Amino acid sequence: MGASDDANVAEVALLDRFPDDGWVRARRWSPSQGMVNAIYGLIGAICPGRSDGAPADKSVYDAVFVQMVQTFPYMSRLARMGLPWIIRVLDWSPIWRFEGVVRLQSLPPEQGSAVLDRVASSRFALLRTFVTAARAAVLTAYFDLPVVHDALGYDPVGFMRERIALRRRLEAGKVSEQTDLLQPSPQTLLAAAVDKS
Amino acid sequence: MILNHRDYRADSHFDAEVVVVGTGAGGAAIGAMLAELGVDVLFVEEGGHHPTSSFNPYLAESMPRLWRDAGTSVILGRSTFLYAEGRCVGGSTVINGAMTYRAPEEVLQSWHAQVRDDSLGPAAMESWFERAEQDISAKLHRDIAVGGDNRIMALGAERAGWHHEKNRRNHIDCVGSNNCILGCVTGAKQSTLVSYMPRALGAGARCLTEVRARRLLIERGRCVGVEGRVVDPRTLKPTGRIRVRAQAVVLACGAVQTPHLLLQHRVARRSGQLGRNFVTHPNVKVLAIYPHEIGGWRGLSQWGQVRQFHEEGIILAENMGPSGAVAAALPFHGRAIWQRMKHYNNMVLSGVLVEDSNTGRIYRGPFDTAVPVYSITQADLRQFLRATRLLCGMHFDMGAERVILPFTRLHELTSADQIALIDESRIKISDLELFTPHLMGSVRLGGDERDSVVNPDHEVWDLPGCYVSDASVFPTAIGVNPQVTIMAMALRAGERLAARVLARRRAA
Ligand SMILES: Cc1cc2nc3c(=O)[nH]c(=O)nc-3n(C[C@H](O)[C@H](O)[C@H](O)COP(=O)(O)OP(=O)(O)OC[C@H]3O[C@@H](n4cnc5c(N)ncnc54)[C@H](O)[C@@H]3O)c2cc1C
Ligand code: SF4
Repeated sequence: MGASDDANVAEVALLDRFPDDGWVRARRWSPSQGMVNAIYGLIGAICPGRSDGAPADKSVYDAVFVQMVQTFPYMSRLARMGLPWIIRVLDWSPIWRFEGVVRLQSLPPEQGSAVLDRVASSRFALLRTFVTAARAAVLTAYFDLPVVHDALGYDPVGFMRERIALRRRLEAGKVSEQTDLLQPSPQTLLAAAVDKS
Repeated sequence: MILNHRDYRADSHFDAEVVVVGTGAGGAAIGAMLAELGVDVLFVEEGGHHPTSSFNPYLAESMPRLWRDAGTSVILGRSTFLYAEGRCVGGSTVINGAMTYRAPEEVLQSWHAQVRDDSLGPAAMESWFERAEQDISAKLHRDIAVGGDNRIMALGAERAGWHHEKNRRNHIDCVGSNNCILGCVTGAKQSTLVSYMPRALGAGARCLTEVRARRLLIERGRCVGVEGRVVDPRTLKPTGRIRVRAQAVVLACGAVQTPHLLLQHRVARRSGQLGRNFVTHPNVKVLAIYPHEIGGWRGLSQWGQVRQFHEEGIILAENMGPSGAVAAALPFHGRAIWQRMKHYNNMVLSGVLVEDSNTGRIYRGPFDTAVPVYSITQADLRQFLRATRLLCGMHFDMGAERVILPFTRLHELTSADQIALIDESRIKISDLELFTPHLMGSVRLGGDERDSVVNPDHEVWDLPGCYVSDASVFPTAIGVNPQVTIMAMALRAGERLAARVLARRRAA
């Protein structure tokens, strides 16, 4: 991204991870060990666990953690001030809810998840907001991982490459073909609709 | 010429005839107009220059690069909610959905009546709208860009007997790759990054990126420039100082940051309107899960809008996003989130937009932080509930198995019989999960300095030399997607400003 005379350097995306446009990324947040443990506790409680084909090994949770600490410095000041508090409050939630004498980080993920369920249905809007914010921070990162994309049958890069090629063909003056139409067709969708007759 | 943090000294000085702060819808359009009329223009942009080649579908990389606060900016109020704004060359137009709607005729008529300036009336604005739409290629789509979720909305509306209008969007051969909110990967979307900015730069304009404007330079009651700080990309802290001296300063930082900058000074206060009249066109998301594949992530983000209820202030539309964004918006975690998200291919994300009936305010907080405050009213809540009921009915009619709702205490319906649960007696304003990308109106334009902040030439009433060209100048809410109206007004303001600057140059 050095001095350039051209505002639009290339017409299409290369779709690389961490594209080299000269952009320098901010230093990651480096939380204390106690905070790291609390974050991992939340990741375990919020991510799906091993159920039903969901990717859930250590490397996945490590990747979620890395994405979270990389994104943290870019967050709004309010979020940067609030998130560490939210993490602490939720980590201690089994204790202040009088559900036990262990913190969330020490509970098995299923149990941690159940505690968060109860916090999320609290009558206090602030506590509900805490769970919403923690979920957003963890799940954005989890569902952004290629291994999770694969498990969902979501292939944005493959699809985008195909579409970029299609646009190139159109730019070269070719006409689109029937096979370029996206499925399902309107007929298929209508067939699945409720029969009103 | 585009410069970035590597190119600045600890204390850098620049001169220009006009300095434009911000390169989004309003800034790039006015800058291109000025540059092409021969004015020496210099842009100051807080974000980086990320060309099309760098775009990808990964949220955790793209949001920090392109979105202010990586998408975590909030509006405070009875229901605190997130707002979205671009921070990069091209501003919010790089991450927007590309819908191109003009402000409705009745809105323009009411502005005309309020401002009492014929050049802002519907007839006079017509040519500016046409020009903006031409500049950014506003048009309908080919069928190849249309995906399953788009079709569900169109077919559902048809079955319900609702008027469904196809959107014109700013694109050249959009092929429906559905990455609009993280930067168009095909280069089809005509954001200002690939439309107005190249034109301005081609006409000789310069652009300083990664510089946050912090205050205006004011001498003897006149605005003579702007001072900013270079943002250190590693620490994100302000470092070197940049000073730009110019005959005119155009603020185009958007409806949150422009009033924030002006509030730093004792100007624009006479009417008491600075920061007020902030409107947000708030929306909520309604997500339907079907028993069969939809592939909503393939196809453009909004093919059309249900406009049946537009006169009542309600628009319904589909708006699918990447899996990370969808999951983050759902009220589930653990096993429950996977039980829904594993059907990502079967989802249709739709939304309700409600026209503002209230206004909010931008305050200046500590640490150079803008604080937007806005609350919806009980009447708005009723609109949201009604529109959500309509959308749920439509989805169940189209065969959806379940619908996930935007209420913190009523998450999900599994049949049409449950729609009656969406009721004012159960759902309060604080239960609504709102969101907005449409921020407008905090530096109102008007014909009288007693009730507005900028005059019909977009110049701050009591600060000659300081102009505003972005969504903040809207006198009232417009009830539709704002980018074309911002651009049309910017072109009009740009022509007027160029005439002044060039006249002054000739006189000198
Ligand atoms: C996700 C999303 C989807 C949208 N979809 C649509 C749509 O489909 N159709 C539509 O019409 N509208 C849409 N919009 C809204 C539309 O894009 C905006 O209303 C419009 O771009 C606002 O223009 P603006 O000039 O006011 O501000 P922006 O386009 O936001 O530009 C402001 C620029 O100023 C820069 N800036 C701010 N403060 C400073 C400072 N202190 N110093 C230097 N630079 C600064 C910012 O980095 C930014 O680049 C959408 C917006 C978003 C975020
Ligand atoms: S749908 Fe794809 S091709 Fe079309 S404008 Fe959006 S990102 Fe670009």
